[in-house]
Amino acid sequence: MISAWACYRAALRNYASRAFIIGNPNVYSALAFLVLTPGWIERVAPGLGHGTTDALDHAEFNPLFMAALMGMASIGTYYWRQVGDAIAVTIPGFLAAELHAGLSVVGLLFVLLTIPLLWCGLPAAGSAAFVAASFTFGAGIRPVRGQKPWEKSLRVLLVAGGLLLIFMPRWQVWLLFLPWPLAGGVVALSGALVVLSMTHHVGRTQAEHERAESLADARPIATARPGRARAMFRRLLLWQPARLRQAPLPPTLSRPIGPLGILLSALVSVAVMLILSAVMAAVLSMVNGEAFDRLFLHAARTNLLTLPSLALMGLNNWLMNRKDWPFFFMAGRYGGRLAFARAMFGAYLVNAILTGVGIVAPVMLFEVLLGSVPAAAGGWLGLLLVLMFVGACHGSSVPLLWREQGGKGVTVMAGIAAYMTMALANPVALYRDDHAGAAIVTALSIFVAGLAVSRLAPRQLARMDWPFDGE
Amino acid sequence: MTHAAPHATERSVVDITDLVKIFGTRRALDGMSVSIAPGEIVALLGPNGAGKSTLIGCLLGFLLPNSGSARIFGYEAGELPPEARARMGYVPQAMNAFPSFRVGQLIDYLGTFYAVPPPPPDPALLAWANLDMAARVKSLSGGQKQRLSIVLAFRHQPDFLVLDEPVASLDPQARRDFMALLADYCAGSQRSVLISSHILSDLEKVATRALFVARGRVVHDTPMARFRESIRWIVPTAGASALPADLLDGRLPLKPLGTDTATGAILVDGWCDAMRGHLADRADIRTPDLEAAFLEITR
Repeated sequence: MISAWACYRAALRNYASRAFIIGNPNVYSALAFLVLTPGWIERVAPGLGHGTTDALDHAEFNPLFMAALMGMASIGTYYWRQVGDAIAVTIPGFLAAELHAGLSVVGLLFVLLTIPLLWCGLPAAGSAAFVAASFTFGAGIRPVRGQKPWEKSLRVLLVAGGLLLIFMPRWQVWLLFLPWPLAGGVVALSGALVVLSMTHHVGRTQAEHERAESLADARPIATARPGRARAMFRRLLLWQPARLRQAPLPPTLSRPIGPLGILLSALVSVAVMLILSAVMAAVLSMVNGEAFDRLFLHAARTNLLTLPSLALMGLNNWLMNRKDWPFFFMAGRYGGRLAFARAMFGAYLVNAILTGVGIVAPVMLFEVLLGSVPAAAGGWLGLLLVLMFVGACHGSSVPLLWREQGGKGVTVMAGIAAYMTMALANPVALYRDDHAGAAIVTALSIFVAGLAVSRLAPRQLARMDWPFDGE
Repeated sequence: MTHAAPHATERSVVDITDLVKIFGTRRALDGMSVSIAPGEIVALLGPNGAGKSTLIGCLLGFLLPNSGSARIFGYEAGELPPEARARMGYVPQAMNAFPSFRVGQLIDYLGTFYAVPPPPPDPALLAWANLDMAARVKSLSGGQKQRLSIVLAFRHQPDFLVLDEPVASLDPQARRDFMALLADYCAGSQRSVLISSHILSDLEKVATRALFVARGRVVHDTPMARFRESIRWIVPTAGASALPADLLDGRLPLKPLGTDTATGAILVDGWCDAMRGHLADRADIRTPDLEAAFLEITR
């Protein structure tokens, strides 16, 4: 009989092996952010030494927070891959060993990531709360199977609360300088969420799966049609010019919404950002006594500019999700591999342009209305933002240019680099900081580079193996 | 775009020559050669890891061989012109694509990607699939998704079908009906099928040829008619300690395919009833089913 200790050690050892890394792109993301952390420390530490926290302002990108988030997400991905398989239940001691090993690694990561913050001279309690809060997201972003309803609700609640927090102005300062009783509360809550995110009830998971299968099998053949208004709205949402209807859909868009659908979803995102900014401003206004309108304007101008970057993050995954490709390829219209690869890149480019225009148009409209940029500059800044977006959308394709085999890790890293470029060199933000020249040069360079990748990558893609069976 | 003239005539739908595919240090295909003629239903048989899916990947043009060639309708598999690709159909092991689409919407949507606009799916096929056209793909069960991918593969009435474990997730009734559907689809036509499945009893009913693969190579290739006629177990009778030595000394045109060490029986190809005289009372002849032959040949 193998002892529980031996099982635990075996489970723990896997975290230091290839088993943990393979098929777990979040590991690469965490490492990429970790590499950027010393630069962040260099910027933040001197200010803290002189008693100023300006560098921690919410507009400052914090790679340590992202490293912790992605680190936790990678542990979750690996853990659920281990325990989610049906065979896991049948191995005595396996589930407990994996749980204990997973929690141990989380604990170790927690300590390791708190150290850089302490090194900067930040308070211990706040630093712990900061890392713990990032774990909340890392643990929460992954759907978990086989949980009780209250467990699911609590996870959603905690993640939503955390999401609200990170859109608050100066949230990093607030979190890092929390009084220790409050910081302790954050750590305890986050810890509970992490444990919750690794809790599953084996019988419940199985029952959920069986119920879903039998429900699907037993479902009667439905002939119900949506109401007239709903059908019209749906038609409007899905309307596409003929050329688009005949272009393969990048799976990251997941459904064939047309230009109007993209615009509508962008408007919804803008509305959500504005509401979020208003909530933040109201809370801060009550807490600090500052004027609501000033706080709202500041938050809204900044938050709206994150929308193109967020949209980019979704689009840039397209090369890692190729489940649809066999169906497009085998249907026959494209014939050979090169023609198909070109068609996929062409369709992706068109979708990137549509998404860019769809998201940038309302963002720039509100940036002008909120007085972030003058109306005269709104047009050309918007155009620059679209061009930069389209160029950056090809970031994840860059590794195809020199890698014979496309790897998930390097693709994720390239996607993150594109996201960071978009976030840090946003032409609107550069223009506001009196760097109009830099805004033009950066945006145009990225656009040209993106077009070059779009032109060169299909040939490389055609020289690689493609997944074809349910990957 | 112009396409090079076909290398071979259409006397063979598929021509695979010395195909090698290496993943890292593993040779998934190790010099495989095979051809498929019009009208053949070829059962691709082999244990897990034998190279069946890799072969299918190369044939469809998703995987690039390290050496050798895989030609379909005379063209390199990866470089088929649209009109040739349009003559193929493929059913994958599992259908995990297009989760947000509704079934009917997906059938219509994919219709625009065929080289020639396909007709609406055959009503008999749709009746067999029994799918709710308004259901979202992600809400379908595994078996329903598989039926959907079968509808998609058959709708344009391809001349060459590649089926990779098409019935693994179907219930026995749907499985049996699908096999009947496949047999009807090919009956009296020149349509060819390459079908990989571990449910050998199903294949036995529809296949016209069995291709046994192991370790990336074809280890035995036989028409099913020949399989039924000339593959036999030669089993020593109760009194005999071993098989007659003269059976396999080369004078009889028998090819040994495997040996059952427990009984001393040998599986041979090339048997005909005229050879019975050589056995006298020393051995019995038994007819193997495809599963028994599979176990011996791919051992």
